[in-house]
Amino acid sequence: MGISRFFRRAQWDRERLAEIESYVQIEADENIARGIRENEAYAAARRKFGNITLIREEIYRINSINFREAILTDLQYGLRTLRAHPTFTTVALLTLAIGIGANTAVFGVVNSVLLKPLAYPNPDELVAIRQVAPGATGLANVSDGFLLSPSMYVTYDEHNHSFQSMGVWANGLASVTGTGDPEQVRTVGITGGVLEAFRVAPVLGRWLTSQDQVPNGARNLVLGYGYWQRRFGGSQSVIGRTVRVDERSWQIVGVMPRGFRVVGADFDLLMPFLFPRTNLALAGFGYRGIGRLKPGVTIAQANADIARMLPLWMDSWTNGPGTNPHFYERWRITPAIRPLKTEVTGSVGNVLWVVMGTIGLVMLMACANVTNLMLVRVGGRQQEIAVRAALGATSSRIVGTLLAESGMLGLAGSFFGLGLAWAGLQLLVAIGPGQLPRLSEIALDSEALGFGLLLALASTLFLGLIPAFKYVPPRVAESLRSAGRSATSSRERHHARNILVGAQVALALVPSTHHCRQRSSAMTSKIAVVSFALHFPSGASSQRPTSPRLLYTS
Amino acid sequence: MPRRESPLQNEMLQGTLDMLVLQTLVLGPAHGHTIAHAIEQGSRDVLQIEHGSLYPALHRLEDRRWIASFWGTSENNRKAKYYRLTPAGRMQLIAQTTRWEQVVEAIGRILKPVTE
Repeated sequence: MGISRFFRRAQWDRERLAEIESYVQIEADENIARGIRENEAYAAARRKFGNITLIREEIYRINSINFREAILTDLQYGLRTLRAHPTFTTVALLTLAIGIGANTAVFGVVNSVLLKPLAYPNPDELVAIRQVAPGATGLANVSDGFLLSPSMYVTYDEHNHSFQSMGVWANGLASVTGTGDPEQVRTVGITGGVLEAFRVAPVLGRWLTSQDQVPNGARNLVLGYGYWQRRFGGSQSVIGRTVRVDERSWQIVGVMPRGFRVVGADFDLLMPFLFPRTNLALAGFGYRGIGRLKPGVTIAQANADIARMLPLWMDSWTNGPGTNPHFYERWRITPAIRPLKTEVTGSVGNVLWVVMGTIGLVMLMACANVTNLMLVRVGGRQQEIAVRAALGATSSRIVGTLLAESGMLGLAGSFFGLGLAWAGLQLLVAIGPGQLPRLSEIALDSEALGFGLLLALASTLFLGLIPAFKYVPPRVAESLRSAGRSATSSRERHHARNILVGAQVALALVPSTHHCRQRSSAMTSKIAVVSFALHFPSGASSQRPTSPRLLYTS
Repeated sequence: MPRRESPLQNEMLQGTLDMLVLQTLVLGPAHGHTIAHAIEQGSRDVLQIEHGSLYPALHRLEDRRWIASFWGTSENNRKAKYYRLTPAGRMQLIAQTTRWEQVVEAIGRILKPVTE
């Protein structure tokens, strides 16, 4: 009841005040009935009651003193004991800090990458329009899905019933020449419908739409935020200026906001595809589809919609005279739309969850270690506990003392741990592993902090309660009798520690086996091809591009 | 922090007041005003209590779950907080009354030879 009464004080005070008021009313009523004038009747009632403030203070004290005093002394005592054993305190703190830090950091990654919705408006409606073609030989990479061709895009865009808007995109590289040093930049080519689907407003200018997709028309492009800052210094007057990209002049019509990506792809330039909407071939499967579903349309319905349009696609286009457009039926092209989030996170999800589980086990081990230390410490203090019990300390007070000590360890540990987690995440983002999607969104946010504090709380209870279960209530007579003599500990005393050590060995095996598995799979997949690409536009300046880019595929 | 002495803080009397309050509630639920007057009148005004000091006692008794409270309306239509005896309170009353009678009897036995 101790804690609840402390927090309910204010409410109780209000209630008592109302009660006292009611007393005065009733007493005054009686006085008036006896014929006393109203003012005097109330004054007399108050006199009879006594000093209201004094009474309220009295009740307030009933509810506070014991609780606050107990917690304060427990904390002071805990601090003293921790300071008296610096080695124990340091080891315990370090263990907890590393455990909590690692867990918070990994949770931060899992939360930012897997749990949080994508940073687009209504992200649940966004889907990746994928297809698979189990019958295709050689051409279609099965794991990556069967990409769309321009003619497919045109067919789907014109005849679908499922999407508010849809489009295709692909990333590439281009050379920017003209102003300043020639530079190779990352581009994302898009058709109309892509930006409409994402619904992210530009910071300057406008989107690219299907109007910009006219072959031999005006060539317009949109800048990425980073490139705008880097190359144009974030200038507001950038709209309408021209840049030379791959030897052609393009006009800047917009700038996308910071952090905007096309699915997972970061870009410097967003450029429209300039393929015509007529006279397209069936083939050319090199484009990724994205769409925003109409409200209420399910992925299954959208899949059925695409499946319906596939024959239409084969009827509408040809690969040239003499070819059979229905040849593709043998490839068994099947739509396999999935939520955009799945497309972005890909297979990283499984890996991250395994890492999360592993690091959770490490946390358990850290807790078991520190608990073991605590057990030894508390075991050595059995006599002290027995004396306190003999002098009248209740079990809850003794448990309180232990919890105060472990609580301070947990709190300080989490403080350092959160620092570690923050530093770790900074490092991770700085290194920027390529396989990790949504890297820029990773941060130690309030959810991760909350997770860290929750861990601290759980470990505090773990550390404090296990010794408490073992040594409280203390066997006073036994402890005091053995105080003078035997220095060896009883078999029973070892029991809890043996269990902990056994659990630790078991837990320690799990991360190492996972590590082995990871390593062996990495060995087999590390056969990689490194290719080197440099693009020199003919007739451009004779200077070499300043930032050649290494590509490597595995 | 030193505790200030408040009326009826005296331990002997405090226990007694608890007992008297519990006894008053045996007859049925009552609010603070009624309880105070019942004790005064029941003792034919020998026990003069400052009515305010009753409230910390009521609070303490409620905290120990010996009495329970609810808001109701008084005889002359005022909102008032009523207290009633809980089963635990009834047990406590029996225990305290027994103890009280033992003490009174013991003290009486000691005092008797002197008065005779």
